[in-house]
Amino acid sequence: MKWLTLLLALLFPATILAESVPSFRQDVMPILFRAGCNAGTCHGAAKGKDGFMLSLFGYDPAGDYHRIVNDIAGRRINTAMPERSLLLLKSLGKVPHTGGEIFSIDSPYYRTLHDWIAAGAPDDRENVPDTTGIELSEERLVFEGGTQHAQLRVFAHQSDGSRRDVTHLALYHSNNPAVATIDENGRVGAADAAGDTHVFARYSRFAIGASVTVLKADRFVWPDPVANNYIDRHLFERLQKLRIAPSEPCDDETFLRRVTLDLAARPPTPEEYRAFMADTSKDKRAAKIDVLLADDAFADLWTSLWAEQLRVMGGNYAPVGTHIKAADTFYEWIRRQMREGRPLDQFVADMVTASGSNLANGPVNLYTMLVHKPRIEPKPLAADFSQVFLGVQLQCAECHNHPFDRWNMDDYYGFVSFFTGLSRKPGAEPREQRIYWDTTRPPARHLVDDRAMEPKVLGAVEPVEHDGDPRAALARWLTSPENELFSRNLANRIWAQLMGRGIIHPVDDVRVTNPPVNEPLLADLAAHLVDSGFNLRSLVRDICNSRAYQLSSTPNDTNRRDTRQFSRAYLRRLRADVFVDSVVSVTGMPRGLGGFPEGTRAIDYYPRSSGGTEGPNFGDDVFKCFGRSARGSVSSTETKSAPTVSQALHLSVGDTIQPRLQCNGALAEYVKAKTPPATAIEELFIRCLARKPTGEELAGFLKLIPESPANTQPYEDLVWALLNSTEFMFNH
Amino acid sequence: MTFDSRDRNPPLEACAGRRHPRLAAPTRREWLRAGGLGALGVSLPALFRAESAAAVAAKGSSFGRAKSCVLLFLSGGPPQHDTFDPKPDAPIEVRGTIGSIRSSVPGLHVSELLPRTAKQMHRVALIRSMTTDIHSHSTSGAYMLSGYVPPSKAENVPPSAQDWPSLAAAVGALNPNPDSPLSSVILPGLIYNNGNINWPCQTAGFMGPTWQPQVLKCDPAAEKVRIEGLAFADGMSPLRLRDRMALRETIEQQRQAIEGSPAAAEFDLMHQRAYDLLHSEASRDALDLERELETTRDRYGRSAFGQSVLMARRLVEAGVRLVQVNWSREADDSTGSPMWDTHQNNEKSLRERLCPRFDQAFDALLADLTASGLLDETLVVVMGEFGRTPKINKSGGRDHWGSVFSVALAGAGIDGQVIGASDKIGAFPDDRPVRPPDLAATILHLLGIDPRHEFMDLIQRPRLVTDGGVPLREIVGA
Repeated sequence: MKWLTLLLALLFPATILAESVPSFRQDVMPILFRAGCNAGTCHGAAKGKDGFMLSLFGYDPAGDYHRIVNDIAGRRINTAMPERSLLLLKSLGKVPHTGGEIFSIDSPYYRTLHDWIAAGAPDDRENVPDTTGIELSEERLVFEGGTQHAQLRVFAHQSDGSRRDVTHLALYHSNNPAVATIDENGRVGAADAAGDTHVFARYSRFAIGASVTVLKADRFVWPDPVANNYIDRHLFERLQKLRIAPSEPCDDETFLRRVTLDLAARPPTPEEYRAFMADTSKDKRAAKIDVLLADDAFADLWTSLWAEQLRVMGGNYAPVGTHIKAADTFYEWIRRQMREGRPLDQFVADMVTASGSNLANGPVNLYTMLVHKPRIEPKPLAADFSQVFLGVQLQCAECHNHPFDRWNMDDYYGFVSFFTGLSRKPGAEPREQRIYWDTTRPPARHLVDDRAMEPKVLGAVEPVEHDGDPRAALARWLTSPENELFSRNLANRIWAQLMGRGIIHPVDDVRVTNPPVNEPLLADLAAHLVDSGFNLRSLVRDICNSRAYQLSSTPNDTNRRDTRQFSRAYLRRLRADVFVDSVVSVTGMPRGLGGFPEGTRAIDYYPRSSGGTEGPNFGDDVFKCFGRSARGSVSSTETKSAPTVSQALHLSVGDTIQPRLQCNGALAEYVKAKTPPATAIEELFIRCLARKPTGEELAGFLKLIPESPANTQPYEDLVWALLNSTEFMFNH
Repeated sequence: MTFDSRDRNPPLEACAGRRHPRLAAPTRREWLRAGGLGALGVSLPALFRAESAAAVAAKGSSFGRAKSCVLLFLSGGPPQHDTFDPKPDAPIEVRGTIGSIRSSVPGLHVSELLPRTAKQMHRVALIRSMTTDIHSHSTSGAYMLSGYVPPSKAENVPPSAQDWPSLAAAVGALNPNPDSPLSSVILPGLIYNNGNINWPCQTAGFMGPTWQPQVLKCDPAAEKVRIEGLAFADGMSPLRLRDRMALRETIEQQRQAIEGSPAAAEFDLMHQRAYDLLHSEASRDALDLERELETTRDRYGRSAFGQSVLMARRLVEAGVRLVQVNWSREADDSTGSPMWDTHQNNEKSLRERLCPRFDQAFDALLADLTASGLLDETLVVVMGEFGRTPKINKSGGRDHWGSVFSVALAGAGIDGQVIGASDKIGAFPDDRPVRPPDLAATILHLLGIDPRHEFMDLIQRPRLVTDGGVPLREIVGA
């Protein structure tokens, strides 16, 4: 105990131990925050806990003062005998307290609360400075060999220009305790695993992080791989620092399959395979990328990805404007933008500023589809809008300042007011709705003080200027090259689509406490996207041509445990729609999808109706089984790739693979033409896996297939095995 | 599920040399089960840590006494007054017109509609003071099935990816049977409220696919029972599947490209499970009710519930750890208030359909398990999501009531006894209220899973298996 007191005395700056009267906002509130009293699980819950309520994370100090001091006067505070105050007795666990004992009686936190009550539990006078930001003593810590601990200090910047040490009042956490731990006093320790992570401090409404790198003290020789472009330079710089060697580049077979699946949403055909393998030119990979980028399939895949995010699907109730005809109009509009290579900033701005008929003007359906609700609801619309176009989840700030990010309630309500005027009126026919901005509608009101909040972009102090409809100003700010949130969000999502993981991950949870694993890389990708005029194909071309994209998935001794620095290709299970299209492409047999013409690809499919209370409508059970986005929300987690037994059952005996094998003309052709089995086997391997069989595989299968098989059965079994293989199911 | 007898698997030796001489003996499955995934860095919670003999002994002789559990879930909420907790001395609007009868335990009365069950009561520990204090089907049900206090008490809260894993998921994951392709099974489908709104907490929730209990969706009352997803497409047969799996194995063994990836290993594991399920003699036979004598099938009753209970018995015999039988909507059910949700005509529904079907199947199950000696190591639990109101309403029905209801446990060495009591009119616990976490802890304890066991969730936070539940000392001993 003695050493603890000593430690605390060292840690605590003079202010808190001094005789002066503690301030409610400066001293008491931070203690309630740090001790977790105003957390959502305790008194910060919407209705408080056990009869006592505090504002969540302390967003409302005036209200909290009232509830502690004046509410049921004399109950919680006893200024005559401070130690008999219920607030203190509860914190010590001396009276029954669901939260148990929070402080010991000799803790300085207890002392502060006690002294504040003893001084009459005064409210702060007007001149108490507000916290305007916080700062950490270190931005970056590197542990190597000997030094295994470091003390972080947290400083609060205040509105009067002063700076205050709040190390003892901040809350700490580590994003990955397996790499670095941080204790309640801000002491960082290197844990067992090498790697990098961030530790965070939270104080008042701010959160701030420091990166921590833990290196193993072993001999490491950087292989010095050749960088193909700027992407590799950023990536390799990071990997070298972390002492992780990237895997070798993948072979041509793997590259061809990977890039064709990624850009054309299907495996390469045998003809493409042979042509590519026979090509001896040095730049054949770059040439292949260009060919695939020019193909409509690339635009169609991205149409599908956008449509999924924007929740394009038919609705069940025509008067809200989500009739399938509106979905069709929207979908085809998106497809046209993608095929024509429309710059992404203009593509988004068109949607943001759109007005008019849902059936005639595709982009206006942003406001019918994004929130499939009977009414236009500004709050969910604002939250979903920000999640899709900025990757930022604002909704926490509806009821309290965001606990893990910089957004506060002013930001939230100012942003909501960009959508409060959106209205809908019936059009010429029952399915038609016209979206317009109703200037008579009032802006959103702040939850705490009921202030009318004029439309204001995130992080701004002043509202935007506008002439009635503020959406033009919103679009200008959103798509401006200076708005890094926008360009970084697009760059990160494009990267994640091709690399299997975002540099910020998940891609739609951008916040201070979820930083990018490679900041320079993300910044540069965003800069290149802006410089290219928000050209999707340009950024995809950069990524696909990088060595990073073309790395093998086979790990080496140094990168085996890496799952986030892109030191090798990460295996990605095929998306549900790409899987279906791949089976169709390999077997040559279409698979009917309800409501669309025969031959429609799965990537072109979207639900004709949005489903009901029994759950979303996937359109086809195979989509549900393999985790295609149900479009139930804008969340990136809607698309699932976790394996299930149902998937394996579907592959084994379900109606996607088996029926396509039995009527495959190509297999019958082998039998009829008496194709030598070795040739047929090789052909089928190329068709399904884009590679030739290994010697063992060929020998094994040859034993099973008679010289001239009487029917297609042996080949059916072979194709079944190929399509059920793990290799087929993954882009590797 | 039906299989053509021509498709039945010949013995292993007979077929090993038939078509794929060098492709027999897939061994990766054993490797996967033996912890290969762990070596790859996959956190497979299913790898149950064996405890030292001393640690087990310290938990008392009842710990792990059950090798299996049959959980009979009477969806809709059975009325305690008219089943296990009659109140013959209460006013007529409470006691109703269903009488009570003596049971095999002196002094213990049960409903006159459960004559067979009455004769089994000496094997039953009857909890008459179960309480959730929640009156909505889906959330009270989620509480009963997971042992975790739900975040909301509202009706129709849909399942989410953040749900707590159900008891079925926890048992299957924490104490799987390595010799069975199935460890935890739900029959004949998940429970849903009208409008097809599934209840939360019925599956693995936030623990993800490796914890998922196997839902065998079927119509057990059909003449030939066909299980969804397990039926073979035309041209497929178990034998052909086996050949194909051997071919697949050849390719899998060549997969340098995807070696060392946890994602690929998990996918492969699911394939092995699916294959086991489709192919193994044990699971195919267990699911094939046509292997039972007609008279046996009659004894359980030809209702969906009766046949599901029979299938549950067969699955337990095949080594499945937990079989949850959900009372499902039957052909002659009310559409507005289906199953045990007797808002109208409570007495008529109970007399004509509900009680006889339950009584028959429960009695047949206990009788068969007793005869085979399996009852000593099989825990049978009867519960619903809640009970029903003390007062009979204007429509002759009883409404939702979570404040007190009854739960019955049998087998696994349990002695006949009554735990707790409800008040005079069966409205609130009078003595010893029992909450779902304690019931869950009791079930887990009997199945050899320490209720204080911690597992790591998907973001590596330690979680307790139950919400602070403590096993009922009356059942598990001191």
